[in-house]
Formats: sequence, structure tokens, C-alpha cells
Amino acid sequence: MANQNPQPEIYTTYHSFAAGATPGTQVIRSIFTNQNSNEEVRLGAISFSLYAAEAVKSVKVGDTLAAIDNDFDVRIKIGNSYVPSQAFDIASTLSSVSKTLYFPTPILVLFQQPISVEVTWKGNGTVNVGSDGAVVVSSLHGELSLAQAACVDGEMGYPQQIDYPMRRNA
Amino acid sequence: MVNQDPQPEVFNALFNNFTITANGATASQQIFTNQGHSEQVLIYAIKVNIFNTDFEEDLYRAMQLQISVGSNNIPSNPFDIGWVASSGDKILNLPVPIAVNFKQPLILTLRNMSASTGAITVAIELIGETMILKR
Repeated sequence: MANQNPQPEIYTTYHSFAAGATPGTQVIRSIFTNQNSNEEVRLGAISFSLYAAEAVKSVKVGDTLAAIDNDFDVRIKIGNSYVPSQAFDIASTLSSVSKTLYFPTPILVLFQQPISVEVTWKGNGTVNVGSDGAVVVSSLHGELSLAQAACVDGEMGYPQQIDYPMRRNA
Repeated sequence: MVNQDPQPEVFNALFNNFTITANGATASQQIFTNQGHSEQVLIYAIKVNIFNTDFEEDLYRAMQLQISVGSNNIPSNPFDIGWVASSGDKILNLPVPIAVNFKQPLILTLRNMSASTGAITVAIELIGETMILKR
């Protein structure tokens, strides 16, 4: 339920990989948007950070977590579909200055559509996820707003497109 | 009360010597916007810095921030700010602004998400504007 329209939203998930994780290990986390039937969520960006699992304890900026591999893939599932349609690599995002990937167009989440963030450690090469394991933190940035209804001027029928063939009041 | 319309605002919240005894430890601070009844504050971005207690070293760690405006949390969930502190400009630009109206308390709550303990200092700046509402 939105408290203002639109309302900023940031959804954070934590994906923990054990020290002995094998390549291909996938950690899935769900997000609850708590949106109403007349509300929609648009996700415009996603940011990532990577920690040693021991964690996420204090690390001085500039230090490198040398034992940890950046080689992760991410897929975002909205309802029962993947949006974007394929997994994407986040190594470049993790090593970027902004640590944020901006989508060309927003991801649309409608009522009762669950969001899942799937992070997969690909494990190329010989490195591993660190002696203590690793934690990938993802944050989806977006907005929660009231859905805009496509009403037809002067009509009181159920909101619908003007060219919809089943318009009741036409 | 604004001195110009709109007026830029930077609200500071310094969690000095935030002593963490366990995972999940929290600390809260209230920000006073001092706005008139006909004024509204819009917050566009959040700047985060995490230091040791001597302000000598930039640190980063998993930590969540929750922003309460009036009786509601906006965004509706706490979110991670560790990546903000370790990013280049240390600023999180909100997709849409947070609106704060007259007499709505603005409260920041930090939650440690790390297993390590000790004292740190977290400096948070809310960057926005105060303006007179037009009816």
C-alpha cells in the first residue's frame, strides 16, 4: 500500500554462498512488494555489493577481497516470467564506481506477482567464493504508484482501451 | 520556515560511536525539518559514509537503513546502504522523492547486518528541498 503516490521503493536481498559452494550454486530470494490491486511497481535499477561472508564485517574501502570471485549471474523473475528474459553477468557492475545497473526501460510488477532474484555463482577458473563464503547483496530500485486506468471519456464502463473489441458502452 | 522558495536542504544524522553488540543491533535518530504548515520537504537522495570512530578510515559493511515519515516507512522496507558507502559518490539517488509534510516526524533507523561487533560511526545526509505548497 502506497503512503504517497508515487513512493520510492528499494528492495534488498541477501544471497549467501557457503565456502564449499560448487560452480552453478544458485541462491534465490523472494521480495514482497505488499502492493494493492490498483498499484504497480516499476523497477528502474539494481545495485550489487559483494562481501566476505564472515561478513559483512568492516572492510576498508580500497581493500580487495582477493579470495572472492566476482563471477556471478543474476536473473530476475516477475510472476512466472523472467524480465529481462536472460541471466546477466554482474561482475562489471560489482567492480564499477556506482555499483548500479540502470535498466533501459523499467521492469513492471503487477498485483500478486512475486519477485524472485536468482543469483548464480558460475565459478569459472579455479577461484572459489572465499574461505568464509560470500554474500551478494542486491537492491532493486523502483517506485510504487497507483495504476493509471485507461478510461474512455464520457463513459462509465470498466476501464479499458478505446480500441478494445469488447467495450460494453460503445 | 523557508528563506527562499524552494530552498535546498541537507539534513545530517550522525550515528557517532554506534556500538554494535550483535547482529540486528539498531539505533535511531530524529531529524527536525522545522517546516511551516504550508511547506513540504522533498528528499531526493541519501549520502552514506561509514567510518571508524576516529573518522580516519572509510569502512563498509552490510547495514540497513529504514526511513520513517510520520507513521509510515518510506520506502516500505529497510534497505542496504553498505553498497552506497562503498560506491564512488556515496550517494543513493531515490527513484522518486520522499515527501515529508508538516508535523510528520522524520526518523532514521540503522540496523547492523553484520556478525562483527564494535563501535563505528555512520554519517547520513538527506539531500532535498523545502518548498511552499501551492494550492
